[in-house]
Amino acid sequence: MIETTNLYKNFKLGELEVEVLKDINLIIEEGEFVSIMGPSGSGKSTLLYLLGGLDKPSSGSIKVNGKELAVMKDKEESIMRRRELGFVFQFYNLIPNLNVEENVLLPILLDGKAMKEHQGDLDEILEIVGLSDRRKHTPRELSGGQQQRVAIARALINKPEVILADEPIGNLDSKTGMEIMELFKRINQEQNKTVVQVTHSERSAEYGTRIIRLKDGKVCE
Amino acid sequence: MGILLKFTLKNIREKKFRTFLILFSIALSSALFFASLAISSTVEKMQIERLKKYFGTAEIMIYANHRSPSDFFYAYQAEQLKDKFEYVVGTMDMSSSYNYSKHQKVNIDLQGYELDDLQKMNPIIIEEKAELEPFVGNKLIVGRADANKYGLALGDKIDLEVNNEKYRFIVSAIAVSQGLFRPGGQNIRAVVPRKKLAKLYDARGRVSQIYLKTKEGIGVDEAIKSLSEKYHRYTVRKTVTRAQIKEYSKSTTAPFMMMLPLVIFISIFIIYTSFKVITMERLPMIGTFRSIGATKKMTNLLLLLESFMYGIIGGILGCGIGFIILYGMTNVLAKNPWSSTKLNAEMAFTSTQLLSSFLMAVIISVISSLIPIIKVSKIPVKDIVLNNIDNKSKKRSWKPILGVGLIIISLIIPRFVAGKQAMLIDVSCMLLVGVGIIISIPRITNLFVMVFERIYTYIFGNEGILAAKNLRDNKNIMNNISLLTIGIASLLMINTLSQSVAIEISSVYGDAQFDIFMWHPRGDRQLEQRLRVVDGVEETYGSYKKWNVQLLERDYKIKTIYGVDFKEYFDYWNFDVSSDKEEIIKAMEEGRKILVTNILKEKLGIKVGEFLTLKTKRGRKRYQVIGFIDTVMRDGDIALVPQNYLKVDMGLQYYGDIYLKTSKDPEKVKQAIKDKFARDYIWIDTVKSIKTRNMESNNQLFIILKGFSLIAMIIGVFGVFNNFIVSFISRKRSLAVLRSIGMSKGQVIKMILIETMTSGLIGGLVGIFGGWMFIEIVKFVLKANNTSLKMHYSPTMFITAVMLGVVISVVASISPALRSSKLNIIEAIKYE
Ligand SMILES: Nc1ncnc2c1ncn2[C@@H]1O[C@H](COP(=O)(O)OP(=O)(O)O)[C@@H](O)[C@H]1O
Ligand SMILES: [Mg+2]
Repeated sequence: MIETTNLYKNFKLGELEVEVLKDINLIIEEGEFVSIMGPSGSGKSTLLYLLGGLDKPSSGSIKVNGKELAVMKDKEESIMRRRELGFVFQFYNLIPNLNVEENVLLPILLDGKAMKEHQGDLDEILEIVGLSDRRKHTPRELSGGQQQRVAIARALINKPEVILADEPIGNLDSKTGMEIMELFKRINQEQNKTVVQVTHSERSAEYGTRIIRLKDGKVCE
Repeated sequence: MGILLKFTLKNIREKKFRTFLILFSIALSSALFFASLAISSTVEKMQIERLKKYFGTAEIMIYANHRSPSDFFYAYQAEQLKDKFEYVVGTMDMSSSYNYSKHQKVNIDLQGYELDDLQKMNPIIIEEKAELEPFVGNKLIVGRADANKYGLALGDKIDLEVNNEKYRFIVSAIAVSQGLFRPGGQNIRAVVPRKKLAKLYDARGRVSQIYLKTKEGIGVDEAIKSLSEKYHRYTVRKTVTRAQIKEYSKSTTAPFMMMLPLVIFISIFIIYTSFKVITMERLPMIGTFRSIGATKKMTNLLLLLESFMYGIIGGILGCGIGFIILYGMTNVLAKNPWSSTKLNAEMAFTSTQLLSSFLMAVIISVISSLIPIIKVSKIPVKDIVLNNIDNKSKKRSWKPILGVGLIIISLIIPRFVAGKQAMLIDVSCMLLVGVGIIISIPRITNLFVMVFERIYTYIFGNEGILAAKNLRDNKNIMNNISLLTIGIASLLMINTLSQSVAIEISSVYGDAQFDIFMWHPRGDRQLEQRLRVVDGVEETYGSYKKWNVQLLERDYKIKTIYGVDFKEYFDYWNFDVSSDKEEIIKAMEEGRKILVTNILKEKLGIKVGEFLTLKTKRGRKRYQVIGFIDTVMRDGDIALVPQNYLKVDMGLQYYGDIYLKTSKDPEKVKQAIKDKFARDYIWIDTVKSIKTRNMESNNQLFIILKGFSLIAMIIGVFGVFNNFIVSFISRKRSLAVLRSIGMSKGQVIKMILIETMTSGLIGGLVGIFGGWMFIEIVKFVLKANNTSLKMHYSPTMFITAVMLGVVISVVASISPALRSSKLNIIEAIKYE
């Protein structure tokens, strides 16, 4: 499903070149629920973004569904992001001037499909994340947990195979956090989606099937 | 405080474009402010210079009129009052003609002076001379420009034809072409000894005019009174009155005064929006400082200091730019289409004007920044630190109501105000309409968006829907639409005004059914007969004319009343008349009847059948209104009455205007007439050249006005650019989110272009509407200024305006759109 080989990522900070990821080799199979853990600044987010094609590696390769990311054009990459991947960020990242429905349907819109034809999917997903009664609300009218559910619904609407989540509950209280984790677990089990999450908490990592630990940019298993 | 200041300075230096924009708009508006103030004193000075040609520094003049026993009189009675005057100058004049080549003649107005007198009254600067003194006999002085034009050199002997006889004069001096020799006018001028002319007229010891200047402390009116007693059968009057000059300069400067509020308005808007962004940017800093103990006062003071600084720098720059603009305007105005030579233009301005422009810059800057600063100081520290500030414009339902209310009130009020305050009120209404539009723009935009959202799905696909949704309640986009709206509305107003003036001017002479316009001091039937024998003259017609006739019931002076023979008149002036011409002609035979213009009808509320009482030489005479004519000739301040009544009532002997129809090239006929009447003091021109010169002299003004509105538009465009950049900054995060969930670069660009195109479209459409409202109010501003103008709306101009709106905003968005597509998703998404 997702495969990295000899993956390196450096950042230039003025004169300085910082090696953030060093020789990462990973294979994530379909249906796995992987948690990436490690201390702050160890490169977890960087790795996740690389997997989703939001940034380019300094060297090494990433394959998603057998396709090499490096050779993809912007358009193909964008299409992959909207059809095959679903992103969830720590800071929900909703579009403030759109309401819940519109936010969730964004990937559909971007794919050039008619919103009407996905009304059924929308209903179903809003049911799953428990926001059926908040359809017309704008993000500012929702709590943090609710906003994160919208982000998850958005990540699911196009029925992607992989969900990438960067500290999805990092900004939520623990009860809400656990509810969200339950949600991921259900999605993983019932719909057989691959989930890759970055997390700090051992408790939330336990919801997954595997833990990848990063330290100083290296995988230590 | 010190560290706060440091941050501020650093920020000013970093945001170079915005600093430039703010300074630019402050500087330009204070520059335009300065130019508008100074152009009035410059125009006044120009006008005074122009009149100096005739009167020098003289304040009072005495000359013969038709009641006078003779055209010539003695100056000694005035000289008896010598202690009241700085000088008493008696002059003579005479027209002559000069064959400067075999077939070409020019009229020379001979001005008879004593040289000493001339130097006191209207000094000339002699460039070269030969045996000039003593200034007696057949000596002659000409101006440099004329000398060059007609090939006259020092010592030349020239033969001038006066009263069919030739007299030889010697060019004894050539003077600088200024003052009396200032170019302009139909004839050239030459100074000769007064006594020489007196001899030619056989009027030894007498003069034809006396010019006087009072001593300090002697009132001009008082002096005129005592002179009138001595010269009771002659005309004694002021040479030029201050009021005349003011009146003249007012008509030139009024349009600038009208533009000015709009320019200031746009500037305030830009500074205001820029400061909103500045305060938003400074928020984290302000929050941090406030949380560690800085007072609100300190942070407010700092922001105010910043705007104060912008004001000072902008003000200084503005005075400099204003100087350049004034120079340009003066030069354009100095090109006098009535003469081929260019006047040497001199700028005239006062230090008060300079200072007030500078102060205006500071005041505009501080005031426009006040609201954003106050708003920021009201945000609780907690919200600043936690970043709880939303950038969404709040929906206030009273706002659109207030906006529409303002618009309606401002459109209605000018209809009901009159008098001295009217001008001020009308201009304020114009500003209020602007405010009203801006307040209503969010609601208007949302209405448009509702429509566009539907259409765009079909045209642009889903990106169209997204773009439409993004337009809703977006502050930055509202600001852009407002700027475009006001800019386009002002541009439309100015263009419609200038176009209407052009159309009206050409339509004045469009009604003229003849080819040549002339005036002769003794125009009568006999003269007409002499004219008709000139080769190429087909028909002639003379009308009587009386200036400034008092209308007794209305406390109004009609500028010109023509006494005409209606049977023929309409063959020369084909005015539109309110009723059948045949009926009018018939009615005119039945007594004192009058036709007034539609403009006077509106201005004075005149009705058909009503009697107008005119003040005439023979007392009050009642003329009955039988209809109206449609013309803007002489600003539409004219009336027509049967000629026999005007002649009798006003005691007129000669024609005021003579119109000629020709069968040959009017230019050639004109020359032939000029030659034939070279001895007489005539004025003649072809309708065609009057037309073009009228156009040109108006063009000058409108070139400048268009420059003004263009600058306003440029300020506006810069504002739009600024806003797009700002909007890009504040949207970075949203765009990054869209990219992360699969929006391609192409889609980003497409979406932004649709957004900007739409906002341009809305700005253009609302701008058209605003322009129309401005024009509706300008009508009343003009009315308050005692002018009236029929507005001609041009659909192409309005369509162009909409396209301009779209083009401006699309062009302004290209750079932000490209930047948005290249944006680093992760950096924008990370929140740290
Ligand atoms: N755009 C960037 N430029 C420079 N350094 C960066 C950039 N993004 C991340 N880093 C550095 O890379 C390291 C890893 O960052 P990140 O992946 O966000 O860590 P984590 O998510 O594990 O806390 C950090 O030391 C961070 O400073
Ligand atoms: Mg991280």
